[in-house]
Amino acid sequence: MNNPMINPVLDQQKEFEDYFDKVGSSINNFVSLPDSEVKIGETPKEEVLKLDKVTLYRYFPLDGVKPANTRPLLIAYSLIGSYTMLDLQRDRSVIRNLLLQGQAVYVIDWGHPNKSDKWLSFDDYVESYLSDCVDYICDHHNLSAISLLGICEGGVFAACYASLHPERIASLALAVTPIDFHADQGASTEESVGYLNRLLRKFSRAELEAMIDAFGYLPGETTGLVFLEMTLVKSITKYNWELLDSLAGDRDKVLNFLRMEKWLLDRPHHPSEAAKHWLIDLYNENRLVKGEFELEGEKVRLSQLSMPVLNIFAKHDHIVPPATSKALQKHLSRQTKYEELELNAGHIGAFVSGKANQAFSDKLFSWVAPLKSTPRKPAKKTAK
Amino acid sequence: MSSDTNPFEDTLAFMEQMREQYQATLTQISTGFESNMALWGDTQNKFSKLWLDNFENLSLALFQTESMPKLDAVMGLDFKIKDFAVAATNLSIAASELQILFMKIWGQAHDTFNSNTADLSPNSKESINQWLENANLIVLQFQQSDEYLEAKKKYATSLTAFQSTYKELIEVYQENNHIPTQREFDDLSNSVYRLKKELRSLRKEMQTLRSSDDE
Repeated sequence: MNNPMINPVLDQQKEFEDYFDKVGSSINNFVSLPDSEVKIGETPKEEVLKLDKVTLYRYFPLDGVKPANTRPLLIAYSLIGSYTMLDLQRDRSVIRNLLLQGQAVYVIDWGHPNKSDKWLSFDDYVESYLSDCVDYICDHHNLSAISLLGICEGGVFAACYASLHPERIASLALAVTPIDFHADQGASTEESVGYLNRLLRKFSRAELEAMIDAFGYLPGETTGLVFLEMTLVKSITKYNWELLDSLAGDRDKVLNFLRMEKWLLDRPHHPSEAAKHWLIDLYNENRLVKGEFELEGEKVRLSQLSMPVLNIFAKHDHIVPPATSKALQKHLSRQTKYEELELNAGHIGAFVSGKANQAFSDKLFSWVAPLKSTPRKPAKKTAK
Repeated sequence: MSSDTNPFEDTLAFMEQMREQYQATLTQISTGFESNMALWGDTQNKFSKLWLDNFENLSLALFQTESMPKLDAVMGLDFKIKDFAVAATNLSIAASELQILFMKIWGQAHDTFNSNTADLSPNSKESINQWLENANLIVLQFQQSDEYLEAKKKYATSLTAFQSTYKELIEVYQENNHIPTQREFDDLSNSVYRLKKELRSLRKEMQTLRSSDDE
């Protein structure tokens, strides 16, 4: 079979055979896998606080795991996307990794805002919802301060809250969080990085306000489309050329693909006033690092972050350019204990790729403040 | 291996023919694609402009200048229809311009790929992957260009105007048919929002007072 005339054709024949095998396997998998089997966010938890559409969950400790001598950890995800990213599947779950270490974990589910929530602003998310969640956990554990992890936009919430209430946060971790929204300018990054930052700087304040008002909120479908557009060719080929590779073969591999699809499909709308803060005050005008960003009339000063700060970013993040996260360090006080963790992953891969996910969880656990000395302030009832 | 002894004789010929046809079709598509691109873009622009001009002319005929007193004949509906039509046309123009840019960049990706065929894998799957990788790189670079970002901005602002004028138009229908409008819902939800904030602030104050009493 070494005839050079025949081999290329035989190769093609083999390709055709492989292709039709994949078609068969894909159809078989797709038909035999009911949606009920594609589960995400399965780690058991209970609702402990409900504030309008916002829910605070506490994860149950795992059987046989000794509680760690650490403060509870509260996780605030972004309004864009769902917190279930942290618990997509059992073998790649940041939440489960933390529970395996005996860590007490709470997570905020921001819910699914609609047009009736259009007035909710960063002030409400930080100074009401996040603040009430921190108060609840402090009260429940009889502590004056807890550890806080903020992710992406949730990282900005966390940084703002910790700046305004440093006494309530014993250690802070931020993941894939933009701080200096203009730091991508001039930074040596990959070609695909910083598209959103560049695009949003093209608009005036009035144009962005009109855009958000025209829709009444930032539609989840629109943010989804923007993310698809950021990697256009890959987004197009994902559902045709590459689809067979994703759906054919091993059932576990197919389930991984479908779990991610399920997560992507759950894209909540973003309340209008909060979207104005996010897109105009931060992306467009970069007010946070200028010391001009205000919540409830009070300026947010990053130099007030006196607790240890861990800054986690992803090397190949095309949504939040690493430079915009790394910029945090120069806005902190010199006394602040600061560490960085750069993951060899993308914006989402930081949480779901096997390697990055474990490195992320381990470093995060090491950053949670130990349970010790901070004296409890006089007990206060929290507003519910 | 002679053709007499080759068990795959017919299959081989068929496969070879398939491959040739596949390549010829791809070439035809790309050639046609390139030559039609300019014509298609031009037609789109002309059509959009014609549509816009017609509406402008119509509105000018009805109301010679914007500064003239406005007649209340149809309670402003005519203006809302005109605004909507203008916004729809502008959106169509912006969308066409964006599409044309994409066609241009796909053409560029195709040219770049064609000039590097020496490195092309003989395996068709790999060669398609090479083409996609090449297209991905070029599209990503292009999306960072001022030309693309400006076109994208124009599309987004046109979409905003379209949404706003469409909402205005729908509200006329809603008001005339006793259906609450989005604006009315917004007023209500804003009142509830403000009340909730006030309630929360009062609760906080009461807690502070209670705490100071306890101490």
